[in-house]
Amino acid sequence: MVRLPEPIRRLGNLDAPLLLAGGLLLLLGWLMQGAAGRGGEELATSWERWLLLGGAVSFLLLLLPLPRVLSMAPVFYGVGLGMLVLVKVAGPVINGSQRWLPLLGRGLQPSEFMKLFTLLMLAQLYRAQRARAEFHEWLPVLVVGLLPTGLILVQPDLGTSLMFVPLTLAVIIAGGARWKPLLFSTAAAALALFLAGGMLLEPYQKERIASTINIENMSASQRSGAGYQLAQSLTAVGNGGLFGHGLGEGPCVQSGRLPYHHNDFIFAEIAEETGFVGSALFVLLEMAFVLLICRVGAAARPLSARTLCAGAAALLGAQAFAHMAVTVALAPTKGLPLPFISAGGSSLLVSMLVLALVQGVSVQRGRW
Amino acid sequence: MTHRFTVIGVIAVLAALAVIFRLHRLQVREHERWADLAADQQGGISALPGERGRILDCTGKVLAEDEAVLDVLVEPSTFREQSLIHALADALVLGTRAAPAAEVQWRCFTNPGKAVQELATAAFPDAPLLVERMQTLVPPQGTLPRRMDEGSARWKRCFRLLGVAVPDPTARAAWLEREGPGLAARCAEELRLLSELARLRGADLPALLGELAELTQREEIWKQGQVRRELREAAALDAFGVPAPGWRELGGAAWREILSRAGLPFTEEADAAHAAASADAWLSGCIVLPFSLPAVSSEADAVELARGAQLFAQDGDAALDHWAATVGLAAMDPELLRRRERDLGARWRRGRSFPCATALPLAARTLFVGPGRLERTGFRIECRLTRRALPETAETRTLGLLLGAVARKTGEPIMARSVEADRNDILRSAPGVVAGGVPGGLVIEAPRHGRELRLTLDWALQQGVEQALDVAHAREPMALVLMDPATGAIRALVTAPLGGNRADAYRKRLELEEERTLLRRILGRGDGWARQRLLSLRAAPGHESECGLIERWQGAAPASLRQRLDVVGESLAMSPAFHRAVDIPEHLPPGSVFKALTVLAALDQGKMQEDAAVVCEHTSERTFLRCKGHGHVAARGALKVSCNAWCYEAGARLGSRTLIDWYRRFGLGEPVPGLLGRDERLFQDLAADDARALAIGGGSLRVAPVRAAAIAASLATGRRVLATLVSGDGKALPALGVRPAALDLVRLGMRDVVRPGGTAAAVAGLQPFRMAAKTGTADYEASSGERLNQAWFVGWAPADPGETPRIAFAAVRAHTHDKGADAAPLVAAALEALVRVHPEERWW
Repeated sequence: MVRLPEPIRRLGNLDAPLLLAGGLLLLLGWLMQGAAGRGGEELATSWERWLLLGGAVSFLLLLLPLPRVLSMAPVFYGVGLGMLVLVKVAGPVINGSQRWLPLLGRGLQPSEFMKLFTLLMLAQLYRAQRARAEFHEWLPVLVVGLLPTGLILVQPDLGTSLMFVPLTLAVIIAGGARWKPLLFSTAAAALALFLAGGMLLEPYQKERIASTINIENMSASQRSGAGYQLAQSLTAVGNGGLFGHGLGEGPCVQSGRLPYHHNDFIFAEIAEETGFVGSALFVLLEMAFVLLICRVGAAARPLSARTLCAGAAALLGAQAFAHMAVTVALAPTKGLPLPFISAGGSSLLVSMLVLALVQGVSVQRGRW
Repeated sequence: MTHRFTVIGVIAVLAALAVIFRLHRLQVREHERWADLAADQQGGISALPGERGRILDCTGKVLAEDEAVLDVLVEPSTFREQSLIHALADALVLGTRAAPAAEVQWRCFTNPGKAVQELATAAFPDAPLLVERMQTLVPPQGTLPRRMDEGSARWKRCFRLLGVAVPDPTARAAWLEREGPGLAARCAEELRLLSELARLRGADLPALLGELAELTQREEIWKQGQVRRELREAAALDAFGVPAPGWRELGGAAWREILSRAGLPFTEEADAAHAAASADAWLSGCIVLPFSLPAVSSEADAVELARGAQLFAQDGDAALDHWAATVGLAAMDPELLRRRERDLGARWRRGRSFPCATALPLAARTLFVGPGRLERTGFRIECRLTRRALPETAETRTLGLLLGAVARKTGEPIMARSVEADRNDILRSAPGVVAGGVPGGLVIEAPRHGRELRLTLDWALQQGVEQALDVAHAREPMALVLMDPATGAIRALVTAPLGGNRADAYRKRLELEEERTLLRRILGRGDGWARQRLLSLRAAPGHESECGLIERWQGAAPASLRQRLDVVGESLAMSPAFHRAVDIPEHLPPGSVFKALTVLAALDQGKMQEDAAVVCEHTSERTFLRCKGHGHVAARGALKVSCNAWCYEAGARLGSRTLIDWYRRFGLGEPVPGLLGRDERLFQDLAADDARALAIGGGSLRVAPVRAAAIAASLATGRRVLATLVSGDGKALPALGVRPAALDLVRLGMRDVVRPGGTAAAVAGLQPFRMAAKTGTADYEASSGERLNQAWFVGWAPADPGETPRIAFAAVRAHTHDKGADAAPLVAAALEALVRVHPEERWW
């Protein structure tokens, strides 16, 4: 009887429910890209290419020993920071911001990859000691976690930069931080941000926040100005009704009235085309996905593996729920892709790699 | 430590619940509100125009139909100046599209930004710097894709109106495949021109592109509007190598030099590339856009074109002559030009859209639509239906007089006496209702299209006859009708003169008719009425012209009024705004043509005997009771020589009432479907007339040539023939109920007319047509005191005993010194044309 190599045999330890949830999300993403790309096959084709690439890299990642991957985290982290600096220096200005680096004929978004590198780096920080309970112990984690935020903020890309906050907080929580100082410092930071927000935010960002708060009484100028996307998104979502209009048949999104519906507002398309039933099931699927990651993390032994899972859950969950919250006007408009679903290739690749890391924790149980 | 994951899980559950609750509110509780809003945003309820029915000739040739046309509107609020940069990028995309596979074509439409990158790499493999710059020039997810999407959405709406469905990729690809080559060829030309211009500047295209790319780096400054002028000048300098301070200075000589050095002919087509690429120059006063228009279709176009031509005139090149001739520049009032310019400037400042060109043919869309075309430069293109008859030429102008016109906005006929108006119940369409402009917009109610209307007119014959009579150049008023005597179906209806601009002719006709009505009222009701009328009109606005007329003629002597009335009547009689075969501009009788009816009535009623002779003596007095002294004349001879004396005697014995009954029997005053209504007033007028005057075709008798031809057809067939222009209107023709012997004698008498000794003996040489006819000469005194005639020649052919009449005719020449026989050559020419156009038929 042929004995398979150890890494392959260990794939039998994959967390099946999590794999199923991830697969369902990817399937839905594929369907939605097909629907969103009815005006042209380019979107779906591009998404499929990224899916194949992500699948191949994820498979390789699963075969590698996770500790070894974590040990290379500082290198990745450094390269990521370098790319962020490079994109600011040499990146082309597109739509008023510098977010992409042209590479191999495609546009790569370093900030997306930085999420993965930061997650790895934070998990690596917990390999050395058992827990970081006190403030002075987890302060370096906070610094490492939030350092990319500053570089991404100057691109400017507020939405992506904010995603590093839940990631870092989740890692610190899972890393054993004491609740009282953590809550106190978080509250203080939130207050400071709130006070500084008035000065730091651009006028259009303030307008977007005002639109979100005052969604019921949005003026005509807001509807056609800063609140345009939000108004169109809400119209599309509300127009979905109970059962929706069918895939690719959403009148609001398919008419092109909702810009970037295949990317930053794809949940509006899901809601319009599948209705309340479909979109609520999708939200539950996202929730289950996060809970399943938490389950893998809770079952893991090494602290670095636990922090890795916590960070992954926070990263993917926060991004998904923030995307949905923006779409239904629970949060100000920010351009955030929906993991596994949206058209962005970088986002899809990073989401799949993060999922692969979590599955790696499950696969390599007892080998840390 | 597990509880820490519980905290993360709880947060996830709470977030999910929050989103679900929000979804419930939006999608379940408030669904109707959002659905209404969505429906409103899709364009709400709008009208879907229905097509008015087509009008065909008897062979099925389309004479008038609804056609989709384009209106190009300028939208000042979205007019952008960065067109040159985008044109460059789009030219690359489209220029390279000439050869590539379908996949690349697709990419051009779905992600043009990326396509530009890839195609630039393929087009300039040795210029990596250029390719890199191209990436900054057209960002992958920048404004270009969105702009294209918006454009295609507009076009989807247009295509839906045209019944062409383009909601899915397949149809879109088919459209691209169909239109792509033409578009690509033009853009390739554009690209080639840029390359040539780059060569002229001593640089290669990549370098030129690079320099232009650098210009885009200054976009931020440009957005603030500080270097708007500077950028335009720089673009002019960089693109064309002409050190011009502005586009205004790029006169015709400069263009010609550029194009000749580039090896391109100086033609409208070549200029179109410049025009499309530099539409913003329109703002600066150099009107290049209209040069690319295939046709001038509105006053605004003409003004723009004329203004552009004037600018070109600074260099005195041939363009001025060409364009001036196109729009009739000589007729352009400089003050009108200035006023239009001020008006356009004001509209521009108001920021509202206004038409730049209207009713362009659909074929012109490739000039405006597509990446890198007008969509990016603040132009909106709309599609609508318009009524279009055959292209208007001198020959087809007759058709306009017959068919009439429909109003652009309402789609309803605007000429009361016309086929369009008379058969509006058949032709009229009703708009449908459509909700939304999204793909698959819901048609709530389909439009009702008008039904087809087939005329009896033979368009080929009509053209043949008009060419034979040279109506395009005829100055004297004349009319001719050719009719199928068996059915009364009108085959050709000719009128002359045709005049120049039909709209101007109509305006003048209306003015003259208004003046004639007013003069008659003043003559009939007196000066007191005029004063009272003036007072009442002054109180209400909109009657300036009538007030002016009353002021002019109030208090004038009746003799002056009558003299002016004569002048107005003559002007009307000479007006080209009448179809003389149908419409009678002034009261002019048919003359001796009606003697045929008098003879027939007298013989049939037994008031005169066939061989009873009447002595005709010469009368020199100018009275209607006069003749030429034919001696002893019997019935047949009376027709042959057109003897008044015989007819006076017959008329006196018959009496007016009997004659009027006979006119009714022959269909006088009956409506001619599509052309004339019932004329009851005619018989009221005739009742007061002397029977002897009626017997020679005088008195209050008036008849349109089309009715005269029907009378000839009746005499030829012995049945009551009514003229008709609409197929299917012909009813079973009842017999005239006339004694055959009397009818045969009249036919023989009319055959003698064109034989030696007859009034039209001079046209005896017109055989082999073997016609029977009657001449008529109605004379009257013109306002100048001159005696003028209305010359008639009415009959049918062939007319030998035993032969079946194949064609009935009526020809008239108005306001001439000629006699009735002089109208015969018109008929001869028309019959020759008939044989020429339909050689397959055996006519004689």
